[in-house]
Amino acid sequence: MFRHPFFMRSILLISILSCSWSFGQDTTTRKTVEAPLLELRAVEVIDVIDIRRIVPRYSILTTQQIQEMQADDVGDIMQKIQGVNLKSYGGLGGLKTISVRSLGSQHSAISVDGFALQNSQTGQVNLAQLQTNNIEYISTGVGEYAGYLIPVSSQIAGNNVAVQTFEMSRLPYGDSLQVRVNMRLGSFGQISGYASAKVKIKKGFVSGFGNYRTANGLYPYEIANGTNTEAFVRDNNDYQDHYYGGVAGYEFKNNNQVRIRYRGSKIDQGLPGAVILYNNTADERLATNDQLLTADYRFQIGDNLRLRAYTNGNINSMRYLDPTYFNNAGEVDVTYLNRNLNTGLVAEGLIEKDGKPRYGRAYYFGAESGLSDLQSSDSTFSNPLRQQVSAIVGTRLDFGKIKIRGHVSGQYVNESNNDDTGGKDVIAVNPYLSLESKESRRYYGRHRVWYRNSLRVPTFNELYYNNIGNNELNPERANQFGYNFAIIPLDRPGRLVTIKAAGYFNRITDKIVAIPTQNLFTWSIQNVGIVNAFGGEVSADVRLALGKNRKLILASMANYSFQRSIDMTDRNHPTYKHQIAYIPMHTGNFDISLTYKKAGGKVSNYLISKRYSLNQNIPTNEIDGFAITDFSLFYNFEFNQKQTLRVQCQVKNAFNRSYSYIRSFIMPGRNYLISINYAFN
Amino acid sequence: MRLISALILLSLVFVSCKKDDPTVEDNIPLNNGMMVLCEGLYQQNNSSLSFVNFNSNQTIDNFFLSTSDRALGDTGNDIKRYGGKVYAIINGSSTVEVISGITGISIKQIPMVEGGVAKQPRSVTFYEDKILVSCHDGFVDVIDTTSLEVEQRIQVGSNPEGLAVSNDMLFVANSGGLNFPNYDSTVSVINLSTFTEELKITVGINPVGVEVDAEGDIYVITRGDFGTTPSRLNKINPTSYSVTQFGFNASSITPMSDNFFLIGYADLSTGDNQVGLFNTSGDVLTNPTYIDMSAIQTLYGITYHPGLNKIFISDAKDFVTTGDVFEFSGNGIFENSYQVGLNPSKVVFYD
Repeated sequence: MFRHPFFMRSILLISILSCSWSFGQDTTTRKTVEAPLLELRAVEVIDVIDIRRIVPRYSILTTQQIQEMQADDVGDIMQKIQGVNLKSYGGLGGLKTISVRSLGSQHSAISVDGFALQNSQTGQVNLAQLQTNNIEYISTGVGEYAGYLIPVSSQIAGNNVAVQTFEMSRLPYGDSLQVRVNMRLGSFGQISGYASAKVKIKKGFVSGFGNYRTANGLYPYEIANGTNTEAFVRDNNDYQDHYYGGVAGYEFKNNNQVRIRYRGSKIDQGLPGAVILYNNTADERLATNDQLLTADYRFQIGDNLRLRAYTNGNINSMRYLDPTYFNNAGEVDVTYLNRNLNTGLVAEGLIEKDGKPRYGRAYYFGAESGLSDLQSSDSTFSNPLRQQVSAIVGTRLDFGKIKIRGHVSGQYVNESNNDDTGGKDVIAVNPYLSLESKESRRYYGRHRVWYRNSLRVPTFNELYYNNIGNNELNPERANQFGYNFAIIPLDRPGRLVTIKAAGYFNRITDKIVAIPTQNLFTWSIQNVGIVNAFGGEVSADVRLALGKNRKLILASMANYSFQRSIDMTDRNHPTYKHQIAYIPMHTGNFDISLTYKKAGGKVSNYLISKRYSLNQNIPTNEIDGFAITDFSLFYNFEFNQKQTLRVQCQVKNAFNRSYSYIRSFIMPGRNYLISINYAFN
Repeated sequence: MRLISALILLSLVFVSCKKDDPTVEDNIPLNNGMMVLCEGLYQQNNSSLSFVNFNSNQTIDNFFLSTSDRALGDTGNDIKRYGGKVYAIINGSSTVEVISGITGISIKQIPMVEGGVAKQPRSVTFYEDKILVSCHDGFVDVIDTTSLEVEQRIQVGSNPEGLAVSNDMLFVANSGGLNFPNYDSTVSVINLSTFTEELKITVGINPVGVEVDAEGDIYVITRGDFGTTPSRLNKINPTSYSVTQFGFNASSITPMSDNFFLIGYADLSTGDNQVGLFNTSGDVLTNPTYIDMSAIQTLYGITYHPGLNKIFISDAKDFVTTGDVFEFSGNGIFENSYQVGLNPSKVVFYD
């Protein structure tokens, strides 16, 4: 087979352009490849001329960018994206969640390989438990879908994040075996290993994967107390996890494809809790066991309708242990079993006239049903059951100068539990509308304004947990108005500059918050908040191939986000128009990397302004802003066309800053990480 | 135009120079004021002391941090004066902070940790040369007032809270709050000559506060279960240990004078706040609405100053914004209010 690299790239690019463009122009040659993947590959081949049509609609981080970051998990990666605010409680595996444009983490739908991750108990995904060594790309859609034929639950969420892993992606054309091996050695006893192999068998493929990760988590930190700074070591912060599984896929004629995946994981971790002044006695533990089975079938009806049927079931069991709790038992030992099953169908087709597809006009629809429950050894938890149905119908219409995309979605949620104190049923209809300008041929830019109405239902914990839960809760609602502008002002062989800017206004009503209702220790969950959030984001990606042979690659990524998120609940309250807790007004990233042939280095900077730990914006509630810098060096060994070995060394928090995202949860000081990545293609 | 600009600038200079912010140095030694324990919020390390100067009507927040150059810690729960010292019980940090009764500066911090486990101190009272501290791990710690060392631990019931001394006997409210919904309902009686528990008296669900009147009668608040069982005042006879429960709402008890208690009641779910006057002579709630509470959002502490004959009511607002202390005359007439730190509760006075 002819495998000249340039030829292959061109073929790839043609494929990219036709497919990616097809999402806007609805040709009949659409493949089922995920849209974000197409865009990122286009960006990678910067020495190809005809790249100008790829003006990104969403934020994408590529394999190479992810590898260069050497992030511990997806949480660390997400903070590189404009408009995303990370909440990290510190330590390997410690809770990490994101808030996008001031919407709480429960408004973000996280999907992996096209399947939404679910946890009806907490309503949020701990991004620290999504590791990065198997990720091919991450795309984030705010006011846009981060993928093609993604689940209904992702389409109707406030925003969505799509992760594509190596294990479930199709083998590139012509390859019959792919192998990935990753090893990491880092500070605080961090050791991890990951291996995966993917084999083509006739028209199908199978892959197997496994991962082990451990760390003692004993990181030093400093805490300011008065005018003094005191040094301690984070205790009870150990972490061990492993996961394993396999994928099988088969491709029928007409690109119809079936995939099935099993993934099992176990986590055992200490819970260090907050750093409490004068009291360093944490001893709580959490053990998690998760079993996940997913399957989908992509198929085509006629020439112009593509469909995807999917099912996604997981069983998540947790055991929380506090061995020194001061109750009669002398401990708290509680188990939780959260089961989720989602099944759905999504489709996208071209509008036809006289049996022929109409150029630039398409429709899409989908339906999904969900079933989840929670069982607990805690007798005060009333074992809830949730039945959920959602549906969506929408269209994309290209009128030449303007493209319209809109949908209406509906949700019905039924709650019940053992003692007939189930939460309220939810019936909701949510619209979405996007108007997009025709892409200018003069400067390759695109304007888009959009509106999205969405909600997030209360979690089982918020509805039922102990004496805190409140079964009268309503869903938290969000109205998002956004404007996006993306432009590629410089686009020629060896040079690519992409600039994106956005402005938005969000209004969140019936915000679900915890407030004390009996005393300082007895809180309850209530719908009491109204939040107005407005802001702007700007980002610039520059990729330059320098030198005679364009072997020196300079890549930089810079972004800045401004967020004003204010409490509008009660004009007589002291926090009226104050910035919402933990929402920074300013965040920014500036990364720059230089690669010459096989070697390179990267400097990564993350900046965040001061925040408040409570909604009252007074000095005693301030959490200092910080700037963190990481340095890394890497070298790629290429044994032949099929095998590469990448060695990377990194210094994280190089200037040893003491910082925290969450008050009293202090992050590690300077630390080191070495990783080795082997790839066989 | 330039003249106007100059005048504006000049006025701004004068305005900014005019304000005299209260300083710690100006107030030491402390007198004619009160120290307010602001509990802060759990895991925020923001418990603090606010000093209110009655002469200037000014408040110095974070007084402890300013004078001792370190934070008070996490979630203060009690503060009391005994002799020349003030003792602050810091629950989250598991410390007893010993503070000068003259300057407000820390004398010593007593760590309350046993075998690597935080004892979680809750409340304090005193007996002769001993400081008696209830700890949530089910003990009362005995601390010597001179050495400021823990000398002994006395096992009581589960999650003890308030405690008080009557006739050389210590009465400790065993709340069992961490066994929710299966609260404790007993008061431990400790003989202070032997420092041993002699018996447990059953009073009612979730006992938390204990006070003693001039006759040595013991009054106990039982908070109930925040549901079907209401929050009540109970009386224990000091000799027979018989228990009488009163039929009115009561969630706190504060000695006012020899024959009177102030009975507080706060229900956050309904927003109901009341302070009544209770006559211990006849055990009668003589006035259930002794103080006009219309300006108070969340009753969180009541303190009476016998010398000034004034009542101070702490308002924790919504628990997540800074609170106020309201000053009333002994007759229950509003006189003043002071803005303080987060979740103000108990008060000690510097005369």
